[in-house]
Amino acid sequence: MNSIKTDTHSICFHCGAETRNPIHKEDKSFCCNGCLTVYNILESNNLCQFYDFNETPGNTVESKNVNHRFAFLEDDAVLNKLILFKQDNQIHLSYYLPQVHCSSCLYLLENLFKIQKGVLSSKLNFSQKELTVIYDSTETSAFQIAKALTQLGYEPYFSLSDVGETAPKSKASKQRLYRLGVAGFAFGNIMLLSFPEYFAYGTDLDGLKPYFQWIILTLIVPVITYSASEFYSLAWGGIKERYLNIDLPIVLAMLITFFRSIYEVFTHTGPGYFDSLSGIVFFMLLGRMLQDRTYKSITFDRDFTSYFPISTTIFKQGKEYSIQLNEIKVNDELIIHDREIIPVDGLLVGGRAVIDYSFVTGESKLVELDAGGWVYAGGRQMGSSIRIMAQKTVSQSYLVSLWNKQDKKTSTQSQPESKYVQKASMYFTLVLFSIAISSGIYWSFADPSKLWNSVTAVLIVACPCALLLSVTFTHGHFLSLFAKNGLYLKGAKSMEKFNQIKRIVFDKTGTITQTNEPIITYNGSELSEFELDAVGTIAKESIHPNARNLSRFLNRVPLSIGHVENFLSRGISAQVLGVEILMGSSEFVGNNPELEKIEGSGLWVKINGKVRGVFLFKSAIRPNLGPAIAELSVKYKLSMLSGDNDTDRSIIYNIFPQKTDLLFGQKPHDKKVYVETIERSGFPVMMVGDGLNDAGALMGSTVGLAVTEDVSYFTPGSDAIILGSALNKLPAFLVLARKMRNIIWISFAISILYNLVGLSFAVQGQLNPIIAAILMPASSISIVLVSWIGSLISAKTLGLKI
Amino acid sequence: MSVIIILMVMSILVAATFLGAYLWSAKTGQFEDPDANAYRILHDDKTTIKVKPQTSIKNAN
Repeated sequence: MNSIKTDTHSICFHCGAETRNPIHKEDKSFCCNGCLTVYNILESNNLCQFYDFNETPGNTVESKNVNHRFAFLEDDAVLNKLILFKQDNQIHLSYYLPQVHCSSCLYLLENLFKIQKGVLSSKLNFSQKELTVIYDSTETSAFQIAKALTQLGYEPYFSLSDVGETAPKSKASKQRLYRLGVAGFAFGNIMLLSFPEYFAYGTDLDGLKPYFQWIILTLIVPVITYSASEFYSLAWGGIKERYLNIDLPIVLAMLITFFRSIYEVFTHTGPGYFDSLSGIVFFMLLGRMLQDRTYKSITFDRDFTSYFPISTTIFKQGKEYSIQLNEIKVNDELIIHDREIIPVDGLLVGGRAVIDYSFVTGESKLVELDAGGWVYAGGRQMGSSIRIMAQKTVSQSYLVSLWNKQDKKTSTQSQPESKYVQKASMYFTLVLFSIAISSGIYWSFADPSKLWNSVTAVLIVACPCALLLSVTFTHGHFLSLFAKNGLYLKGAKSMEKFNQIKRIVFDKTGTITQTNEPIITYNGSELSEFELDAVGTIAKESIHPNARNLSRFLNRVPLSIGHVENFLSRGISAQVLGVEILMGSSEFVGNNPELEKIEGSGLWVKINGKVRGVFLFKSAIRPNLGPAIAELSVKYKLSMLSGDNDTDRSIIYNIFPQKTDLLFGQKPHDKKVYVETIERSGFPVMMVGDGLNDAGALMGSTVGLAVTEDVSYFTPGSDAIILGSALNKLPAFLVLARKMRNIIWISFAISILYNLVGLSFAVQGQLNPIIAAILMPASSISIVLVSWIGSLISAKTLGLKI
Repeated sequence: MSVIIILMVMSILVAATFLGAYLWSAKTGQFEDPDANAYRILHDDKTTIKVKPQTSIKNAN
């Protein structure tokens, strides 16, 4: 027999994978030919610096035929939609490369021009994992480049959403950066130029004051007209929607401050409050920016178009063409290759379908069909190519129609602050307005000359800027705290909604359990090392997910394999070095009745005509999830909805407390209805789910929490995305969201103290610009500090990363 | 004392230069991808030297 060293593991020089039969080149070992090829390419192009920055930076390269996968790049109609910019022969095109992960990737991809002829330059946006390539269309093509990238281990990913209308979102955030810069510039200079006003009484600088004032006046104009423009548009939006938002009183106070200051300057009665005004605009813009910080690599509002491919293969008049999804018509004959997604509902007309619907339905078992069966859009074909006859167009397919039914409220979405902040600002403003009116009435009797002065001063103080600062800065800090711990929120409003939650509904597959790493146990007579190698070898040949998990679990060096036969749905048989091995369902191996009754799914092994035993697969519960669920069940009523039948019932019963609603065999539509029924009965729901099958329920819930292993993967539309490894921190996250509200109130109370001091001056008609100039930055800075320190302390006490 | 005026105009001009630099960097997208820029600075172009990278790899092992 082959002598196999069992404990010598080599690390692939390129990708870092452990391997037991490395391919050697010079003194380096590689796990596969793919990795070796990349190394050779890099070496011949003098790009070995790639290996200097990080150890084993490469991606494992699977050798596969990608020609049909990128066929659409040769279709001019599709290509023209993807091209960013075109001038003569120069084409700018961007590729999304999910595998980008380290600085070496950046180095390699930006040196693409050395590897691929015709590429003029390439620039990687690291956080968005997007490579923008400029190439000469006479020398190379988008297709060639996609192939070259795949060969290097960076397979570009295109989805249907790439060809749709995309809003230029970066423009708005740039505008905000400009506004902030202008406000900061004006604030700093105005403050500096105001010093003579405050400190130069009686010195010979007095004569220069008019010059200073003129410069200040020039500087304040862009702040009021440009930097503050976003407050005007939000306030105006509020008026149009008949909705009193926080921006309206802010704009009012800003304009009163501005015009009163202008008046003072022109009548030589005072220097005005320009320094406070520019300062407050600057701080408010900063706070809003902190609050609205987006995660560039994460998209929340995904729909089916980002899951579906751009094109598929159509079979017409004996030839294969690439066709765009939206051009598919009923009765078109389509070819679905291995691991491609079925784009439309249709009838299977050729080949044997083995479809993985797990992402669509939550059911992890493969569905197998013979010609004449009905296939649904969204499933992934595993195995050889099949032909289907389209029965519906893409937009009418079952899954897509389920998704398109969701239309969520959109009316108040233009308002960046949550409702209770708006409400608080309303009371705040009302109280201050009544103070302004009372002091106006008082002075109109006591000393009418002071009336104008005191009323405007109160209105200047009446600005709920401090409230806005408390809220925006606290939200900003908490958003980044959550993100550090693996919870990415769509925005501050989603964070607020955490506090309304009364019930939590979990999905099972992919949420409670980890589908890609089941617990595997072996039951039967012991297998020798060689037999394990042989089992590992044929497990690798199978397309069945359980067999693939087994091959990963055994992690064996593939032996040379003889005749392999795949019996779909039942098993696989093969000759390995003269030994005949059968692996599959219990009927397939011709089971012996003693070993029969087993729970969960199993893979039986028969070696040389003798049934040896069975590998059992059980879904693994995410680590540490049990205690987290117990903790949640104290405060919230829990439910668990599973798309699977009751295969893993016992482990589910183990971790959920008795009062939990456990429902099995739930279709996507059932989940949605379940969540919506609870919502309607007045209990806000947090839905925790992962696949397309949960999309409806995620949308229908108050807080939709999508679970993912990697944030660059596809997740259905949701309010927040949580890393699977962070799911056990969910109880802490919910407590943290509650604490956030307290911190907002504390910092708001502090700012009110400052406001009271300011008010006491204002009602007397003595709000000196210098008092305002001290109070404004002092209160802003205390708010920023309180919210920052408060958020750190609360995260620390909950044992979260800070 | 009118020298103060000159100084002030100068100081504002200096500040305005920085504002200009900031606006330019925001416009050219330098705040969009801070990670890439941090990595990019480490990469130097060794294309002209043919032998060096290969020997350095060998030493690394």
